[in-house]
Amino acid sequence: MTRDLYLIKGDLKIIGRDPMLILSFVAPFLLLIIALFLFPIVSQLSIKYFSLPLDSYFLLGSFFFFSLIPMLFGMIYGFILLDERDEGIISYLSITPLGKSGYLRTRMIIPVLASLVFGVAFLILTGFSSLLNWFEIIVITLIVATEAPLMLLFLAAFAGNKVEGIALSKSFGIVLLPVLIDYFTQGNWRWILSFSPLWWIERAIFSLQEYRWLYLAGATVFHGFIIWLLFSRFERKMQ
Amino acid sequence: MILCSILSIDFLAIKFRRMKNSIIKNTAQLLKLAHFDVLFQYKQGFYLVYAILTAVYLLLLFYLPETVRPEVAAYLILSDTSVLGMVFVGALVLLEKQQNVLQSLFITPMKLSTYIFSKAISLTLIATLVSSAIGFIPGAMLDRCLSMLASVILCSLFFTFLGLGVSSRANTLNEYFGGILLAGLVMVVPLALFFIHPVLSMIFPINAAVTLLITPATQQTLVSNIAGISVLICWNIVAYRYAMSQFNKNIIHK
Repeated sequence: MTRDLYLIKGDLKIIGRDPMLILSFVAPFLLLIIALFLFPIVSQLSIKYFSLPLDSYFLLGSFFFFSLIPMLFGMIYGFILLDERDEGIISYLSITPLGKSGYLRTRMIIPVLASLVFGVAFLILTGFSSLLNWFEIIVITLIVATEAPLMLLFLAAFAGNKVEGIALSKSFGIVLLPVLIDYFTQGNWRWILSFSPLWWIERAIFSLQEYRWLYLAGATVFHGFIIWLLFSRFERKMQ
Repeated sequence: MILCSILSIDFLAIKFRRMKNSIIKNTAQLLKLAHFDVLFQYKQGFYLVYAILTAVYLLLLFYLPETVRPEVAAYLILSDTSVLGMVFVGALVLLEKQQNVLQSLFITPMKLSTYIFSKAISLTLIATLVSSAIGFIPGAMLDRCLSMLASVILCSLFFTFLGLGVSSRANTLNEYFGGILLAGLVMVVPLALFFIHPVLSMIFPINAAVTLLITPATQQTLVSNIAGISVLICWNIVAYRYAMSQFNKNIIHK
């Protein structure tokens, strides 16, 4: 535990030095400001110019931003991991008592914790408490917070170097698209979209309340399965 | 007198031949370098990722009604494909920096300008291919194909030059993304000027690019197109000089 704390302490130093990392901790606030203040302005403009009120989509927009928070942290920590791997730092750490899995564990803790804190605050402040009770909010944030290690592990497992990592990170947007498609369409064919971990969460929040916990259970299993899959691939890759 | 003029003509001819040979040599070197850059980008999965993304974008565009397709296609082109060079070039340069490729490369007779143009041209190639697919296959931008291509190519070159300048200073990926996020914000803000003074706002690159992209062929005039393209060319010269000076300062004369 003490050695993990050392690495976390080092991480905080890196965050202090790197403007992008400071920005990443400011980004959730910016997203919150957009959700709280810019959405109503856009809706007013849309009513004025197109007679199209957008108020009913505020929650969807907020959900979209909410799911961006762990993705953002996951990507930033993923980029740190790619830099460190290209520099050979992971190989050095793997022969210390920390080990490779210890290194990865520490790399995953901060984004999960940060996503949890920001996620709960974001859901409450953007008015999700009218749709979900506090227990559901915590469970949903917990599941969505695992998107951060998911992104990080995806980069670690599939990218050979930072160039491949950036190319892969461009495809992360595909995970977000099923959320929008599912919300705006009807029919059972939408189960095809269940390849996206976020689809399960969107269903849990916006579909019938009686199925909420079923979808949340599905989301937990699906997230756990993907993380296990990616982790084992990363371990194989590093051997 | 006659001998003198013959000698000077001869001297000019030799100079001209040398200049011609050097241009041919530089162009051949540039094409070779760009070819290897494209091969490297292909190997790293750029083309595969963009093939998948293009397929998704096309599905989305075909699903939308024809009336809004040009606007959505313009948004996709501007937000993703036109600026892809800026996103990718940082990773390419940082990897080369880390592998000490740049140190070896710049002690060869190859010029810095060849290196910078090779990166910009190779990334602009993907940007143009993907933008053409998004713009032309659903038929959203067929009417303004020339202005659209000019906008995409010049925009992609501009942002890649900008990315090259920023990447020469950065040491980590996150530092690089911090830099381009800032540069990107500065570039996007003048878009708001469009609503205040549409004509004057054309002096900014993003506004010129947007105007070339979204104006339907029936409303385009030769003057406005030439103005837009000239603005983008001027900004490209500025961005190229910025990339050159940053590379000279941070990498070559470090």
